[in-house]
Amino acid sequence: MKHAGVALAALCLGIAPALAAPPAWLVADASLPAKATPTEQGAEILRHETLVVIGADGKWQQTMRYAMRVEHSGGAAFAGLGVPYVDRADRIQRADAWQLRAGRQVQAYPRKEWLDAVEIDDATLYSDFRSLAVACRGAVVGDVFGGEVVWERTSNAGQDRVTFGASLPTRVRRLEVRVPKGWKVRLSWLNGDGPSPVVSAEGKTLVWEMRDVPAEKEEPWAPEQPLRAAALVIEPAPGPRPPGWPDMTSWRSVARWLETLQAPQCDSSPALAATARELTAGITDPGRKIEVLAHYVQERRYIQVNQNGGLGFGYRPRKATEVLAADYGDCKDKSNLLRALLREVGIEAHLVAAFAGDSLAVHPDWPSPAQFNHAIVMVKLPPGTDFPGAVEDPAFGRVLFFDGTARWIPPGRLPWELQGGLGLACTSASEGLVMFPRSEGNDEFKCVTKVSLTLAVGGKCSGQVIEECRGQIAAGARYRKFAYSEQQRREDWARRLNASLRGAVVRGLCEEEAADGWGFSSLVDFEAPVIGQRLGNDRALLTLDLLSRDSVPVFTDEPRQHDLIVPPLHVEHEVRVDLPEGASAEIPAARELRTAFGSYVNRYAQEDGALVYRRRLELNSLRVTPDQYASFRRFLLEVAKADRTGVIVRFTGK
Amino acid sequence: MAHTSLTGPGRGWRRLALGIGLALAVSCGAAVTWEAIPPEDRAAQPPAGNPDAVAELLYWKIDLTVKNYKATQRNLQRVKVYSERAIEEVGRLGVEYTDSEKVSELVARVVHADGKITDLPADQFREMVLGRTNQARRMARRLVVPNLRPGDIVELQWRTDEDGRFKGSRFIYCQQTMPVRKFEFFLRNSGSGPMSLASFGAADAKIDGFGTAKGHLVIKNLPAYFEEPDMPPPFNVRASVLVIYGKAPEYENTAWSAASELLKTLEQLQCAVTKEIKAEADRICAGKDYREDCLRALYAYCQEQIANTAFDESPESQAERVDYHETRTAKAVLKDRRGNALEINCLFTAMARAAGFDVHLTFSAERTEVLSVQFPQGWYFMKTSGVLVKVAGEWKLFSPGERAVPFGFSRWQREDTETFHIEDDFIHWENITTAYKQQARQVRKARAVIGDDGALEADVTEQLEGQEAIAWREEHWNAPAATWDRLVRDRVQAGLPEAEVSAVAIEHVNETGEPVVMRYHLRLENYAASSGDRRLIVPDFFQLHARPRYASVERKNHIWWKYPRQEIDELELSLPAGYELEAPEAPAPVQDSNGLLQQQIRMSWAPSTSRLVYRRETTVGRPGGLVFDASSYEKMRRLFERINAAQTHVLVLSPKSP
Repeated sequence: MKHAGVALAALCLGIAPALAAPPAWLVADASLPAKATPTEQGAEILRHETLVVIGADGKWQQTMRYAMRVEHSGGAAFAGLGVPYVDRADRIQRADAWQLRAGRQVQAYPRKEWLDAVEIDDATLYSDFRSLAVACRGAVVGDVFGGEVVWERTSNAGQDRVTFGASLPTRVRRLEVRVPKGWKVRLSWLNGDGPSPVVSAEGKTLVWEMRDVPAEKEEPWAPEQPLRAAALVIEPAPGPRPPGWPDMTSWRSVARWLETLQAPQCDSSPALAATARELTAGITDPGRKIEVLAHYVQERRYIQVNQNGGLGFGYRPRKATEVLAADYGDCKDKSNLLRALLREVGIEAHLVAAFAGDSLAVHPDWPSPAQFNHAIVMVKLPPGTDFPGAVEDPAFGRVLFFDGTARWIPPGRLPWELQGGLGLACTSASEGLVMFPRSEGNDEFKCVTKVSLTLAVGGKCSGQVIEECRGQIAAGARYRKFAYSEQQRREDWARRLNASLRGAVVRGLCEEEAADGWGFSSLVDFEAPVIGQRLGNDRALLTLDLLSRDSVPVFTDEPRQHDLIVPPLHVEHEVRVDLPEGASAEIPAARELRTAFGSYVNRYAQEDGALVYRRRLELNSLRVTPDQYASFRRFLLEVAKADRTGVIVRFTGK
Repeated sequence: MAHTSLTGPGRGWRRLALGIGLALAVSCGAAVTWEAIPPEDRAAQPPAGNPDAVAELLYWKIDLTVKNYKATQRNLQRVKVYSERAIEEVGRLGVEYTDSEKVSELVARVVHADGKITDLPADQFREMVLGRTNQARRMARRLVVPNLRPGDIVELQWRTDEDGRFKGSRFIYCQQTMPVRKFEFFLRNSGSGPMSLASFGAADAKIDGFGTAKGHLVIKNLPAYFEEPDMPPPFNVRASVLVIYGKAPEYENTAWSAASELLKTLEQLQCAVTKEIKAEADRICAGKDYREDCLRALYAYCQEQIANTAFDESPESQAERVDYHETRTAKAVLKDRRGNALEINCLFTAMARAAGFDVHLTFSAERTEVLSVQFPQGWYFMKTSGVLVKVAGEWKLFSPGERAVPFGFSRWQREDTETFHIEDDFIHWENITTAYKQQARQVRKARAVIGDDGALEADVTEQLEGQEAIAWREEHWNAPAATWDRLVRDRVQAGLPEAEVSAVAIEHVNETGEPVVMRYHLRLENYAASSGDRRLIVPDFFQLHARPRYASVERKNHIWWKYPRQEIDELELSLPAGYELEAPEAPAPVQDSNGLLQQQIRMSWAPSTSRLVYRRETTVGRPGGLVFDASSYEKMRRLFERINAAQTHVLVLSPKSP
């Protein structure tokens, strides 16, 4: 279900034939006075208008009208427009664009010059998800580029997510919905606030309009949702539902509808039954059976086949027998395969629709499959069976949630992005959303690093690192062990060490995965030509932030628009330097920071002839609002500064 | 140029992009046979030079037949999987092609370690249109190989037919991200004019029948290719094959002499002196007593008074950037007052000739593509135009067609490459030299104040000269004032992510004769660290987070320093009241024995004013660039570590005694 966004990059080359004159609305937009001060982006959207017209037969026709102006040369790259569509489901009826200069047409772009491109990536074998887009050729400062696309949609089942705002400032953003008599229209704001609709006398036309919407910035660690988005739900008049308008009035009805799509796909065959039997041969414990089959599914390759995307938002998996034979699948394919395999050994499971990327993205008051982009499995644990990470669900009892695409996350754990989020179990027994468990304790992103260093004659040093990671960090380490050669991993360690210990060379690397699949330890032997900086003849300055230098994320001082999603982090460092005989260190005071965002402490000590540095940084799992951003940034800057604390060591004798 | 490439582990689909053109046909009915797999391939183990290899391309055969300008290419690839790690990548097969090509006989198979064979016929490949407009379509056929295991051999073969309007050349990187045991290229030609087959970057390539109707090239035991910083251009290090053939006029002649004939004709036709050009040249040079002043004025005229369509923002120039037009003559350029780089250089050629200079239009290669063109197909790379003018008895290169290049200079990509001109029907070779040499230089001057809280506030002037200015202008020509803040902020924060940048101004954005000057205010909130009651500062605060130039311990490829570059930081720091420097000592200079790398740091400290004056000058490289053998990497890495240690040298501030 995951697929790349629409790209408007490609140029369609060629000479445009004559086309109908630009529409009046575009000519009118082109006559709007330019802003006194151009934006940094160099372009502004003059109009972004969406018109949805529902026919009496339930046909959803959508029109997009769009106009933008180039304010300076940097903005020419934004002169383009496009729409996503689902092949064999949606039908584009018209697509035209025009380029206007000083109010007059200089170029027309009829549909045949637009680029029709598939949305595809390296993990996709085939896709019905496409876009139709056009880019303006040679737009110059002052030019207005705009167009109109009309298409019929059958793939959205009366639901849509509408965004108000873009990466450019927008003068007018308008949504108009026209429905037949008796139909109901609801727009719920998912993110941000928006205006109330202007409703026509008969209640058949509703208009939402926003003016002067600021540009939305791309920011690191931001949620995937735009700042201003709303759920558009259109409900037919009472009576028989038109084709393509399944009942989406409650989560229960959505779950039932999804189940009807998915149930036929959970098929079986002798080969599938034999696979389940062979994999679980000799195992009596149901928990162990779940574990073995889950591992098997995780190890299948992740490949998407986005076919029949117009049917149920693409939430219908391929048949389990087909996925088994092909040896690859995407999230719903893998989940469905696991469901079929578990059924063979007498264990009930269901697909769960989820949103990957942001656990808080799913809004409980908008029953719609359009909220999901991922599928996982909910395994109902047989009576008397337990499993680490299993939770008690009010509706389904003791269940285990499992993500078949997260190969390095063992059964019983979930990717952090899903934790605490909401999903929909695709079964008729579903009455509402289920909540995914959130890991307790501090081992979700945990890393404890111990470095011991011995100084040798001439300033050289040799040392050893023992690093023990838990949780998602360990999952990353397991992936690297699989994907990279030992030489590449040694090189990675050398790079990390070199960040604070110039010239460090790795002499040995030993790695071990924890039996529970949730831990990973590394032992690294290294040498370096010099440590620290000499201060005259008898002193040296040591900075002991080995493997932690510049490891704290740094954010810019620009005001923030989006919340900042911070994963929980628990890292500890201990660096021990054996000092030469007679050497003494001027021990700096401990540095301790405690905030709502997390805590930090560093301490130095001289113990048994060694200089010891201990550091602990903990970040709470939180969502930092734009108002809190400056304080959060300052906290991290303070941590980075404290990390650069130096220790002056005085040597006596030679 | 058609590309055929097979990517290695972790790089997506094994994509075989086959070109651009017209007419589409994909057939899948033809019967296909497989060559027997030699026992040594079945038993293959990772090569000694790449013991970590997860897969190996055991055999890659391309059989190209060109008959009356129609090309048929048969391809066979045989890959052995050594590790589970390779399954993800090797198991994804794909062919990409356009509607100018007919792809047929596309089949794959897996020969399992136990000898069983799984056939994967054409109908198992999924076909889709990647992109389409009214003018062209690009298609893909993809297949995921099921149940692949280490020890299996995957074979893929397909055939491509191109119609008569093909491109004239074919370039193939035969060195891949997995080792290649044997690459073999067969070329059969009849009725399609002279053809040329060459290999680059493979020392032991064997070519038979060069220049004849039948060519055969074999390259064996290519190690896996991977990229490293500062490596020479791909043609010099990555084994590749270039086949030149075809109907297009520019490719019909495959020898230097024919290429030079083309240049001579071009110069005669496009750069002819007319009475209008002569009159304009006379007007521009009137009163210029010195020859160089005249040349300089002509250069300025061509560069500044003629709209360069690559940079000009007028609608006409922008239209020319996307729409094809016939090359203008110098006379037409003068009349239209508009032209592209070649056209403007032609006008300069004509005007300089009219003014009595000995002058020739020329072409050169770019060092980003190839370091030298002294080989039979070298002319293929001579794509960038320029003008040779004899100044004080020596040929010097000028290129007013390049908008950001000042008079007498050249972009580094062209400096010290070879070029030629035609005189008396003979090729005359020249090493490109420019009238002036100015290395890339970045000069930062700042007055900074360190507060009691350890924060640093500085007013900075950053000046870019030479290649630095040319490169900046090529990217940011005509940068509107509304974008300056972002440009400077991004530039500073690339090295100092925590920097707060304000009060930005940029001078000489488009004036090529002047350095680019950026002025801004900088704040580093967490600048000074501490050690007890002492403060620790890195006086060259721009280098606060600097890392050594080379991070890797191992090196496979040669090292290439593209052009000389100098950095100068001149800083004046006011230290916080109540602190004094503890035994301030400037780091020792760093210099290599050949003077190719040097750094000098000077500091002076005035206790009475609490002012520290710091100057760092670091110079790396020499004009024309340098290539070092990979064996010198270790020594070089150590030198850059010393450079870095000096740049990040810490000074200790202690509280003044009461």
